[in-house]
Amino acid sequence: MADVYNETVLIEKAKSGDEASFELLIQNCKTKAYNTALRYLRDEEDAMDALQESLIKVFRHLDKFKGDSKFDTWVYRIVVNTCNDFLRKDKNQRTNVSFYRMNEDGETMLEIPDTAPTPPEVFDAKLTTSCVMGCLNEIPKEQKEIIILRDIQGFSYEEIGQILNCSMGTVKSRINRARQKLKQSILEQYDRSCV
Amino acid sequence: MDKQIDLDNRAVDIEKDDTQDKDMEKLLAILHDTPEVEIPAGFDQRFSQALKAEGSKIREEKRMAAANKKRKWYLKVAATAAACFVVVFASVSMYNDGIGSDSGRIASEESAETQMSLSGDMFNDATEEGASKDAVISTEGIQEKEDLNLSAEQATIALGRVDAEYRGESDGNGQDTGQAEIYYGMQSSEVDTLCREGSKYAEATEEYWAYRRLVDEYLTGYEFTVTDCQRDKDTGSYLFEVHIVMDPEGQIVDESLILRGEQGEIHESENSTEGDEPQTGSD
Repeated sequence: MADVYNETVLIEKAKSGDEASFELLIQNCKTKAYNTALRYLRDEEDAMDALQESLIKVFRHLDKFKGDSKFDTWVYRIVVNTCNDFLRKDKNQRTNVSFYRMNEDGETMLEIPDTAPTPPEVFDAKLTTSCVMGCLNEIPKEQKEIIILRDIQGFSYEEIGQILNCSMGTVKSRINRARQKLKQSILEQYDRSCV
Repeated sequence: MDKQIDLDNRAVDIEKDDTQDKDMEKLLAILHDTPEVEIPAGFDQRFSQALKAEGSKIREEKRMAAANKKRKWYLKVAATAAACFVVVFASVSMYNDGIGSDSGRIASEESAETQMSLSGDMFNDATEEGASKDAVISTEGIQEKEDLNLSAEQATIALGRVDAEYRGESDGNGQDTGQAEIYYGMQSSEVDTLCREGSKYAEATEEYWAYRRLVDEYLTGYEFTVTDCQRDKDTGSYLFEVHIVMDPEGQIVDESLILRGEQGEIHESENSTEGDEPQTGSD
C-alpha cells in the first residue's frame, strides 16, 4: 500500500518535471525493461539505446498515463514498442545496405545475411541458451515477443495482454503456437548441424 | 492381432508425446533459466544526463508554448481591434459619402422637407388664409415629413417656388425676390421648372413670380404641379406647362395644361389639351 502511495506521489512529482522522482520511479522496472530489450535486440548497445529512448518517452508522455494499468506494465509496453521500432529500422537498414553490393569488377553481388547460429554455438553444450536464443530469432516476431515476455521475463498472461494490447485468450493461444514453433526451429537447426 | 498393433502404436504415440513434452519442458527450463543481465555501469549516468536534457527541453517547450499562447492572445485582441477600426472607418466613410441606409434616411429627410414646403404652399394657395407660412410649415410640415407619397418631381418643383416666395413675402423684402437664387432637385432626371429662355435658364425675376401667382390663382381649387416654364425672349411672355392632378370636386384629372402669361394676364394657350378649363384670369 505504501509502495502504491509512493508510486502515485512519485508519478505526480515526475509529471511536474522532477527528474529525480522519475529516476526513483523507474528504479524497480529498469532492469527487467533492459533485459526485455536485450532479448528483443540481442545487442547490449542497442538494448541500452532502446531502453533510454523508452524511458525518455515515458518521462515525456507521463501525463498520458491514466493509471488503467500498473505503471511498470505501461513502461514495458513502451519498451516493447520501441524495440519493435528498432527492429524495423534495423531490418530496413539491412535490406537497403547489405543485400546488394558491387564487387571490384563492378558486378552486382547478392548478399543474404546469415542470422543462423554458428556450428560452435550448436555443438557447445554450455551455449545451449545461445542456441535457443538464436532459434528464437528465427521465428515470427509475434511469437518471439510472447516467448520473451512469458517464458523469459515471466510476465503474467494479464500483463502480457496489457503490454501487447490483446486479450488473455489470444495470449494463451499465441504462446502455445509460439512454443511449438520454437521447438520446431531448434530441431531443424539440430538437423542442419548434424548434416 | 490388430489390437496388438493398435496397442503398440498407442504406446509409440504416448512415448512420442512424452518425448515431446520432455523436449518442451527442457526448452521452457532453458528459457526460464536465462540469466538476468545487469544494466551496464555507464547507463545510469548516461540516462541521467539525457533525462536532464529532456527535462530542460520540455520546460523550454512549455515556456515557448505559454509565450506563444500569450502572444496569440495579444494577436487576437489586436486583430479584433483592427477589425473594429476598419468597420467603423468604413461606416463613417459610407456615411460621409452618402452611401447605404444613412443616405437613404438623409434623402428621405430631404424629400420630407421639400414635401413639407410643398404642402405649405398648396395649403396656402387653396385656402387663401392669412396664416403665415412659417406656421403652416411648423404644423403641417411635421405631419408631411413622414408622408413620402408625393413624387420627387413635385417636391423639387415646390422647393424652388416656395423658397423664393418665402424670401420675397415673409421677409417683406420684395426687392430681393427677383434676385433670389433658387435651388432645385439634385437629380438630373427631375423636371426643372426654372424658367428658361431658349436653352438657358432665366433669372427668377419679380415678373416671373407674379405670373406664377397668377397661375396659382387661375387654378385655384385644382391640385396641380408646374412641370415647365419658358420665357419668350422676344415677346416677354411666359409659357407655363401645368400638370393637373385633381379638380376641385376631388376627381382625379391627370391632364396637362399650357398657360400663357403676357401683358399682366394669364390665359390658356392654344396648344393646351384642356378645353373646359377657365379661360382667363386677371391680377
